[in-house]
This record gives sequence, structure tokens and C-alpha cells, in this order.
Amino acid sequence: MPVITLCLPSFDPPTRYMSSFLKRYILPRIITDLSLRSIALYRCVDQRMPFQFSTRYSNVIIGTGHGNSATLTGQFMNVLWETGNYDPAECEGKIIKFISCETGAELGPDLIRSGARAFQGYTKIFAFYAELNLRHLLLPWLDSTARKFLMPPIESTMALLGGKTNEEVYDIEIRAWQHQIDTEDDPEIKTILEHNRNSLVMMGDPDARISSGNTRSHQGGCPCRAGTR
Amino acid sequence: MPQYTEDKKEQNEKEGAKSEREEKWEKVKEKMRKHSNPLDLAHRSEVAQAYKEYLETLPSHLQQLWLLILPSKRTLQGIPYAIPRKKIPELMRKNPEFYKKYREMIVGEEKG
Repeated sequence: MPVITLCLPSFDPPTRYMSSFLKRYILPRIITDLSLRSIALYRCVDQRMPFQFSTRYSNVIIGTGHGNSATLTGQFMNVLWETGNYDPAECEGKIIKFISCETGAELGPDLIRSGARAFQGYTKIFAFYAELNLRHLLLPWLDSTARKFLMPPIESTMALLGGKTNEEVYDIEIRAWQHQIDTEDDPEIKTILEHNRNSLVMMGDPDARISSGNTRSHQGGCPCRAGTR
Repeated sequence: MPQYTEDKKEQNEKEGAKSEREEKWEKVKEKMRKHSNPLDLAHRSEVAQAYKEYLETLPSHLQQLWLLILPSKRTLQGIPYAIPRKKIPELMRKNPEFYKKYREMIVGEEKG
């Protein structure tokens, strides 16, 4: 039975928005699907130690939080994963998806080199517009502007949990971004949607999926064998 | 028939506003492409002014939006991670690092 780690820091408006969307759409999907099990890391436990423990026993790691090319951070920007500074057992054979800035640039390729089966993330700053009033801080998923930016990664994460392959998940997200771009009237918002779409990358095994033996360890481990898009 | 004329007039106004908005945004992008050095205050001010003109073409509810970003402290370097859209021109003027990051999002990184 696939075990999923959900990394959900929530301490400032961007992380509150992103993790609320994941809690609203992804968590119920995991809870109601009897074939999945989750370890959801909330707020204060969202730090390196519990993360390290949780990833070892997971098959899929879905994370949001502030990041840069070499690190993914959790609650209060505590570093969860840093390029070259973790045990390969934390990522070996796992499917990883980050909704965070720049992690696709260095950390993603490093995780693939260390044995991760698949990775998806963004190589540049992940930015979004939001209405950010009290109502939407309490219920961010009702913010129609933020939805334009946050639903594409949610749709692809849902597809990942639904058993789609790494490549299919990537294509679903690209199509979702494109739909938002095509229907947007504000040219600046359109440009930032395009920026986010263009910085999405997928790495590793294009056929990796939750249901097909993602618990097995990475075969080969050579980054040159990994497809990157 | 008068209803039809009213609808047509409203549609024309909307399309006019849309094309003005796009024109102003193109101007922002054009100035950003031209001014790649984030350390030059005069250049940053010119782009900020163009952005301000673009903002004025937007309906007020769109001017009230906030730009949220997810970088870590290392990338942030003094840039707030929640920025009111109306403050973007001011931040462009004051903060070269913000100008650089925002420019990267809009026109991409400078090559070479």
C-alpha cells in the first residue's frame, strides 16, 4: 500500500495558501482512497527530523514550502532537504513532487542522482497573485485569482495519486496551465502563469506511477539514464 | 434595438480597455528588456513608471491583488514574500534585487 508524505508548512500567506489548497483537495483524496496511506506533516512537526523519518517509510513525497535551487524548507523555513546533505535512503525509489521555488534546478536532479524514481518541480520562482483578504486567508481555495495559479499543480497531484505516470502527470499540469493562460484577460497574470508553466520540469522515469512498484529501489541510478523535460 | 446598441457600446468599451491594457503591458515588457541592469536607479524608475501606467488601466479590484512568492531566505534577500500589486512600482525603485527577480519572471533571464 503506497504511503504518502505530505509536507504542509503554513506560517505566512504563500505557504498558508499553498498548503490549504493541498489540504482541501489532496488530503481528502488520500483519506477516502483506501489504497493510499498518508503521513501529513503539519506546522510545528514540519521540520527536518520528522521529515527524515517520514520519507524513509513513504513511496510518494508531496511537498510545498519556501525553497531555492538547493533546498526545500518546511515550517518557519527550517531546511527539510538540501542538495548533497541527506541520506539517499530518504529518496531512493520514491516519486517526489514539490510546489516550491527553484527546487527543480539543483535539488531535483540531485534527488534523481541519489535514486529517486521520479521528480517534478519548478526551476524558477513560483509566483501567484491572490486577493489576500480575511475571508480568503481563512478559506484560500475560494480565492478565484489564486485558483488560477494553484489549481494546475493540484490537478497534476490528483492525477499522480490517481495512478497516472510521471509523464502523464506532467502533461496534465502543462495542459492545466495552458487552459488558465488561454482564458486570462490580465496580461501580467498571463505572463506569470506562463512563467510558472515554463519552469515546471519532470525528471526520472517517465513511466513511474504510484501503483506500479514504486517501492522498489531505483534501477541504475545514473542520471544520464533519467529523462528530463 | 436600443438594447442591442447599448450592449455593442459596452462591448466596444471593454475591448478598448483590454487593448489599452495590453499596450501598456507591452510597454512595461519592452522597457524591462531594454533595462537589464538592476543597479541603475534611473532605469528601474522608468520601468516602475511604465508599470504604474499599466496598473491604472486595470479595474480597481485587480489593483488590490497581492503577489505571493515561495522562495527561501537565501533567494529573498530583503524581498517580502507578499507584495501588494500597488506597491510593485515603489519596490522596483527601492529594491534592485526585487527588480531583478521580477524582471526574470516577466522577460526571462539575461543570457550571456
